[in-house]
Amino acid sequence: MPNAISVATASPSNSSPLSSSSTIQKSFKATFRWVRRIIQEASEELDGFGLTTDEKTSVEIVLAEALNNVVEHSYPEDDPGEIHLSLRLRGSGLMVEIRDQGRPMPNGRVPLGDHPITSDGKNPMPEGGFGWFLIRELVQDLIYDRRDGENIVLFRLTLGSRLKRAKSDTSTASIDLAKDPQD
Amino acid sequence: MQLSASQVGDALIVVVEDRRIDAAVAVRFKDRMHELTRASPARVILDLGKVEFLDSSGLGAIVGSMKQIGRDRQLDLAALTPMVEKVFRITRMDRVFQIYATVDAAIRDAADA
Repeated sequence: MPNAISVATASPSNSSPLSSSSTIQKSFKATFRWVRRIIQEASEELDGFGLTTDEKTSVEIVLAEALNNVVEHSYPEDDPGEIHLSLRLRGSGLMVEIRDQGRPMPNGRVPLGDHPITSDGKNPMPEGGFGWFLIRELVQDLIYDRRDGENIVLFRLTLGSRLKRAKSDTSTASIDLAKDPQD
Repeated sequence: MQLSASQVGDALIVVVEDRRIDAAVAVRFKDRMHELTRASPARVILDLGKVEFLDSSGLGAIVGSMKQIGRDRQLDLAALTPMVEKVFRITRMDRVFQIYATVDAAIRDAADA
């Protein structure tokens, strides 16, 4: 079991999903094992945010891709630094911020994330290159900034069905959720 | 990474016993698949029914296993959970694999052919 650097979590309040307490914050070592554990923890804590199963799946996918990218590309393999993750529930969706003190992104920008199967048919069975494609398919407002030696990646996940419920009647959100169909 | 294999008719059924195929285990998954399928029959069915989480590294490892198995044999997938199905659908890799709702359906398909 790896050692935590620090894990601070502000649990969301069930009674008021749109309040400022709807924030999850975590700092952890940049390793695949830690990413796995943090996603599992965040996923459990997101249960209080009123997301549908499908929305939660999207969050888990983009967190895995974005955080594993930091593990793979930002820090040297033998000297992993820290990752700071924050998830904030806002009226416009779930705002995700990921910060690390590793190497900057190549060319100072987020990879385009084109689908790895190219039209020239040279790589019909790609084993990689799906990470940024998945992120770009699932998020809005993807922003990268490099400030004071720190990489900052910000993006938003729209949570349509949840917002409709929150607007009509916040107190019934959890009851509606229980009935949410899988398909 | 736990995989178990058994032969049913003309196919080798490989069951992924873990709940996640992610970046932490993707390389081991591919290595284990290679061991299990090295001398396998012409058809391998990968049972993903227990897998609740797949990331792009895991997806890459499944594609890599298909390539290892080679052109003269085939790797089919069965029993995808909604999360895994979503990753295959968004990346459009559901068009590259033959995917069955259940392992039984995959076995039946071979019997009918």
